[in-house]
Amino acid sequence: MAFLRKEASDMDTCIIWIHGQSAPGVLQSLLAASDGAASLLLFGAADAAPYLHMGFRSVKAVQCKSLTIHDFHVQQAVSFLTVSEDVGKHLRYILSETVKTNELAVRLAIATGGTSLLGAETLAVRGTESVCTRRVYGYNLVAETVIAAKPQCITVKPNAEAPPVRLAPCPCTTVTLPEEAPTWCTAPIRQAAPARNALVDAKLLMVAGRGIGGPDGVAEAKRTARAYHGALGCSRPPVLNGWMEADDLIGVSGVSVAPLLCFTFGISGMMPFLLGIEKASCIVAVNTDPNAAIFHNCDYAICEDCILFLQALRRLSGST
Amino acid sequence: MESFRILVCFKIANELESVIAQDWESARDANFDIDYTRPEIGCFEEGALETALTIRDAENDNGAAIPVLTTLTIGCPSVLPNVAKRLFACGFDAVHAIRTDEDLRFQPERTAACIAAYILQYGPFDAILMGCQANPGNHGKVPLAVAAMLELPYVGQVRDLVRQAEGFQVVAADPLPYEQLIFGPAVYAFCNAKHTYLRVPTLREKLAVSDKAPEYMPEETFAGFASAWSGRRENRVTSLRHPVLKRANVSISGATPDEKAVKLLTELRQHGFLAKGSV
Repeated sequence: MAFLRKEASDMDTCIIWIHGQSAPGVLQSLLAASDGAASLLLFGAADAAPYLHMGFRSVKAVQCKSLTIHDFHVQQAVSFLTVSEDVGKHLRYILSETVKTNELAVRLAIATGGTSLLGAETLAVRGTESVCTRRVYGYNLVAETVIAAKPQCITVKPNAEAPPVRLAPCPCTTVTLPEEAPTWCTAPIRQAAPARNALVDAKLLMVAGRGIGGPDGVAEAKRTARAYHGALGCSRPPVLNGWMEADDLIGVSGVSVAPLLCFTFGISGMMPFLLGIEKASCIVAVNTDPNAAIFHNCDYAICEDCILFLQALRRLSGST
Repeated sequence: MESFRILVCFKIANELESVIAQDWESARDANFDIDYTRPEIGCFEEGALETALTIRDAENDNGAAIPVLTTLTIGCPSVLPNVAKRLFACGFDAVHAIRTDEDLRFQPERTAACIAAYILQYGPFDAILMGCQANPGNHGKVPLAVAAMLELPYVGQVRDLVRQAEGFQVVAADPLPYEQLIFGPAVYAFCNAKHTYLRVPTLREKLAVSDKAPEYMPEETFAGFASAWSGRRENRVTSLRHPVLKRANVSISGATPDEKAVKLLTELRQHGFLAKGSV
């Protein structure tokens, strides 16, 4: 009986978090998704105190110069987890999705004989199984996926932020590791963080797609966007064709926006793009193809030549 | 400088733009069938393939030893011979295909095990280029798992790769862009690549390789390594559904663009999406 109780309490969830990787509310939402019962493995925090009141069973803080948000050595973290840690202790590891945590999840699963799932949109804990939803078929479908192997290493998209809580502090242990720079690469030379993308804050947004036709169409769209005091973004084809910049890209590979009004011009309506504008209050779609998928996912559908309609909008801009 | 070897792994998957809305809505489980759509090289892998050719071009221009470019795919779709002809015409030295009857759509670790086994047998390669993810599974796991299985370094979200005397200069993002010099073999997963499209060979280039064909390898060739992974439990897809995006879908009609624009602006003003006097 005692063994059974021990087994039940030890088969718990461990949330792995790199200090500074995202807002604390995201971490709080991971804890909520794990049925509110998890321990925290914290990398890169000089002071673990703010994490002790969030409702974790326990916190283990790993302090190491090469395991911080700026310089996270994934293989060192995996070595620590598989050698220094008792990996059999945890049934599942939950991480908030980033490039580094995805790598950590897969390497940890391979090293421990477990399994991994990256980019879960939702996560539910059902006994010893985890049930996740994630996008498949080019983001057009949602797949419910059951994860049964142990340990389960799951990264979750940082979509939700739970409100902060302040509970009684949990126990905390601190581990200090030596710095261990990878020998297979030089230190990364990073570009300075760009200014906040203007598309994110735009109330009125115009978006150009393949149907805009080329640089002349883009110039027309820019003039019209300016006339309406709006911003101009684009879907993937104008970037790939060199008509617009990568910073202008909206969608899964670019920025997600939430304008009050979003015009799309010559956009077919593939799901990776639609996910980038799904929070727009109103979507107006202009396309010459009456069967374009965008017409199923907009508020106002206008079957018309993009350039002619842009010119019409601009002519009318003084009368609105 | 000595010659070096690059492996580019690519997947031929169905393009999804022509799948009609009703088909998405009818999808319920993993047996969902879109085989009627056109197969094509995954967009991220197209960037990886073109980057490999760009590296070769640069070495050629510098008078250095020409790298050996090998490609690998799993499965043998009917279009593979044509795809292989294009790859040969572009300048790839070998097109290898692992023949399997298994449905690997939702088995990324099994897929990775096949690739890793191939690399162990036919490698070493100085650089292994892959796309970061592909339809229909969109797991984003295969390059990571290959790197983990072979204990190789991994660089994700790669945009560009350039050969240097000491190794490869990589431009990637995590999510901010950075540059780094990589020593020794590594797996590079391409996302929004600088070189987006695979070049189109000329007729002369195609004719020059008309007798070349892909080399098929049965999956059993790699049974020793891959079987170690085949017994592991992959995640199980239990259902598929098409997310419903609820929008009003009001059609604005009119005889001219101006007429439609007037109707639209009136609607937008009425519903408060465009304030009067805002422009």
